[in-house]
Amino acid sequence: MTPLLTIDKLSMRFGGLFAVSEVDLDVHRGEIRGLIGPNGAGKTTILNVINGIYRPTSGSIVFDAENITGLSPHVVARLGVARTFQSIQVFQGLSVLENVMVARHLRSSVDLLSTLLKTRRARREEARISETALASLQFVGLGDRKDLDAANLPYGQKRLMEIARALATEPKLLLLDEPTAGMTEAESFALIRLIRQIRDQGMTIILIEHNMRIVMDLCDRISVFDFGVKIAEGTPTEIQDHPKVIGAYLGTGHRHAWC
Amino acid sequence: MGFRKKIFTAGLLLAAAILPLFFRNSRYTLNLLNLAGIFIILTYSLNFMHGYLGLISIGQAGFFAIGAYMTAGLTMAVGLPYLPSLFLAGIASTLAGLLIGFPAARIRGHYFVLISLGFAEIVRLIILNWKEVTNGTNGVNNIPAPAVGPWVFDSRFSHYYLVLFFVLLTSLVTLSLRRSKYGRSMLCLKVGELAATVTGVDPMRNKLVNFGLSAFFAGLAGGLYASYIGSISPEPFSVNLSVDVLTMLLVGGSGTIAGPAIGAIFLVFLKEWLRFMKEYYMILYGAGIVLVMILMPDGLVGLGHRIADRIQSPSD
Repeated sequence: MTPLLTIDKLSMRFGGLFAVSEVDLDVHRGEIRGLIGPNGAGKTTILNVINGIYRPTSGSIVFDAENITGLSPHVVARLGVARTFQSIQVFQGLSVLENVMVARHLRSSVDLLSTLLKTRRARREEARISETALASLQFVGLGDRKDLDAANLPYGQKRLMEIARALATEPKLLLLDEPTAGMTEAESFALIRLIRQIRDQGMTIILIEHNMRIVMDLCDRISVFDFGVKIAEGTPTEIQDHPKVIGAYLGTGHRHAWC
Repeated sequence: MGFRKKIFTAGLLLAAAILPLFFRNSRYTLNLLNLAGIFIILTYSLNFMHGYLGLISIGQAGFFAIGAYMTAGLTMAVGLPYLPSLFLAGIASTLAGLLIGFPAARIRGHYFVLISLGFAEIVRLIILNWKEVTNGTNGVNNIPAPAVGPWVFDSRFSHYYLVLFFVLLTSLVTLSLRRSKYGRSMLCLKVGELAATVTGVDPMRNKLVNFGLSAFFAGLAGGLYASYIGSISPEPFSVNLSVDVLTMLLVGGSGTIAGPAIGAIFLVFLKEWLRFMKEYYMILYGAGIVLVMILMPDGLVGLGHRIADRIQSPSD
């Protein structure tokens, strides 16, 4: 079966610095792929290029049999790539429900005039947007929080809302950039269960994560980066024993001390 | 909408409808009410840009001028009836909004402010110098009073109701936008453009819709102004007008439904009350605005909310 996402010789240069250099990556349908590596290894840059936030210096990205290299973020989103950020992105001033409703707009087709005149079709669609957004919120367990100003949610729930928003776009690929960052152990644990649940419904996930226990526990395959270059790839067991990986994390000479 | 809100809205509408009856013999007050109404529409037009996208424009005078001159031209030179002229003037203003929207949509902050300022100046200079069409500094005189079917709005009293109709229309569109996918998308772009686009919001499209709406209603306000005053010249369409509108929005409360109306009414009347001070009034006016900006960052509406909160929870 062809991979859902194929990245071919991807390079991203900022000025004279290569943040990502000649990276190849195949992600298959239904897998959870972990991206790990020290800070500055280029993991987030790869997500930003997939999203269309950055236009790559060279290389190509094929998603679901379509070349998405250099497309705008909102087009990539429409094609089925959703994303959460390392620093949580909340649309403040909007309710929790509205935060998620925004994600439904890309599946909506009512024109401006009908929208402003509140025609029956527009009202029906608005109701549908609201319903599916609520379903998405309920899935992550935030159904009873829908009318709150999103800025007033506690940190952990903001992350859940962000995931609900990403899911509401009905993506085929979900990019999670350090989802457990800043969360308590209990929250992280619940989040891991949620991510697994999402995958079990058929979602493909790319995950950046620093907590090794979570990565090893959750991911089907792991790609390791250092200084913008992919240095290793394999199952968690293969990665744990990979000498290059240990070298990148601890300097050469240590073994196994880190996991 | 809750029951109390409905009662309040109905009361407000009734008050607006009977207000001029008390001033039938005061042409002065009726004039202020008409001007306040026109400024309310103009302030709402800026509220689209600032309230929904967080962009500051000091170019509303440009759209206002296009609306005024187009309405005058279409009724007088082309001979169209009033309402089609007004509507087409709004469309012309919208086209101008989209035209500067294409480059401006990629730009934010100070640069956007400068583009809007430059745009309004260009419009003013064209009006000033294209004498064959606009009659230059002499302006256009004897613009006919608005006539809709059998009704002619040729008195300050009757014209008030024409303005009131368009004030209501503008506020309804503003409200409708807030509860629509377009309004939501714009508010998301305002607070987090990157996250919004990654969630599927098309920034260019939503900004152009926004600029188009803003320009349309500013153009409508201009058309109402032209037919109300009866003669227009380049002079009133200066940057001062744009700054006045921005002040009205910020003093009233940007991004709210009541703010633009309260701000416009408040400042139109404040200027009149301060008139006895002659040229010194600008000092007090300026100082007052600075104080408002410091003490009430969310405008009069924000102040009202804070007072209401205080009353409901006096323990704080």
